[in-house]
Amino acid sequence: MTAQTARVLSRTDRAVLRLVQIAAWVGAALTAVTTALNATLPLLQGMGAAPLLVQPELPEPLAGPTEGIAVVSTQSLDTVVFLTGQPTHLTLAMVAALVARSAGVALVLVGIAMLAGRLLRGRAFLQAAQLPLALVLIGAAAGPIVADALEGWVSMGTWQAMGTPAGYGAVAAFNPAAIFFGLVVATLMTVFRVADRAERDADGLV
Amino acid sequence: MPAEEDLSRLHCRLDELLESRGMTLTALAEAVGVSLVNLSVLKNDRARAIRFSTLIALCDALECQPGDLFTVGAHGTQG
Repeated sequence: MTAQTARVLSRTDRAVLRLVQIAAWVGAALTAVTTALNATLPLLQGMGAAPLLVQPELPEPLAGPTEGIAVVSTQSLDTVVFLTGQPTHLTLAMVAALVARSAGVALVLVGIAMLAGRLLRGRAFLQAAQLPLALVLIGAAAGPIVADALEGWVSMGTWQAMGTPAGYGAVAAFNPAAIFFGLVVATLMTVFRVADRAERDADGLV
Repeated sequence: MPAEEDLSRLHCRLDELLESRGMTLTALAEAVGVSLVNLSVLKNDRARAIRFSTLIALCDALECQPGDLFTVGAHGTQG
């Protein structure tokens, strides 16, 4: 099998692809390490975490004009709070959400690194390119969706376990960008399949 | 669709035609507007397909018909 893509790569192309490949592998490794630390450190300290809506105590506005722009005193902040005594299943679910989100990022980076490597080695559109693209698809779409669902469940469960106190609220997030990105990658996979056929047809065409 | 191995039965007679006309592959490449690499692929029976435009240009340059350019060997043989 001829390596058509490899032949048309300039020195600059190769340098850029090599850089992308290295950066993606390093990024994936750093993501894994950071996730492991973020997941285990709070647990080691006996703390759980949950995304909650929190009504903050805002500082008193500075003395000044009584009319004009002012901060509304009752508002909620969407944040992750650390707490003790969180039910174990919710703590584990929060860790799972963190792992799912980070695994998504890591999968996308690994997919990019594999695609760059494939491009460096030869033809980009081979059927084998479907695997790195599938990794990007799963990482970009499934990771955030699973993480959002788990975090929503943890938030609701934690808020209820706290006795639904005033000033706090459960929060559920949904990221449509993950779906759109997933659709883009799914379309790219189809484009790659068609391009693979076209490349095979054109191979040896005079 | 013919099997991939069947393609080896096709022989391109570019060498013979060039020799009989006292023409070099480089000159033919210039006349036809096809790269020397691609003509070499065709000459060495490594091509898997040929565009009609290339075929017509080759026939014009070599003053021949498509049938003069290619022969197909019998089953189980190489062209």
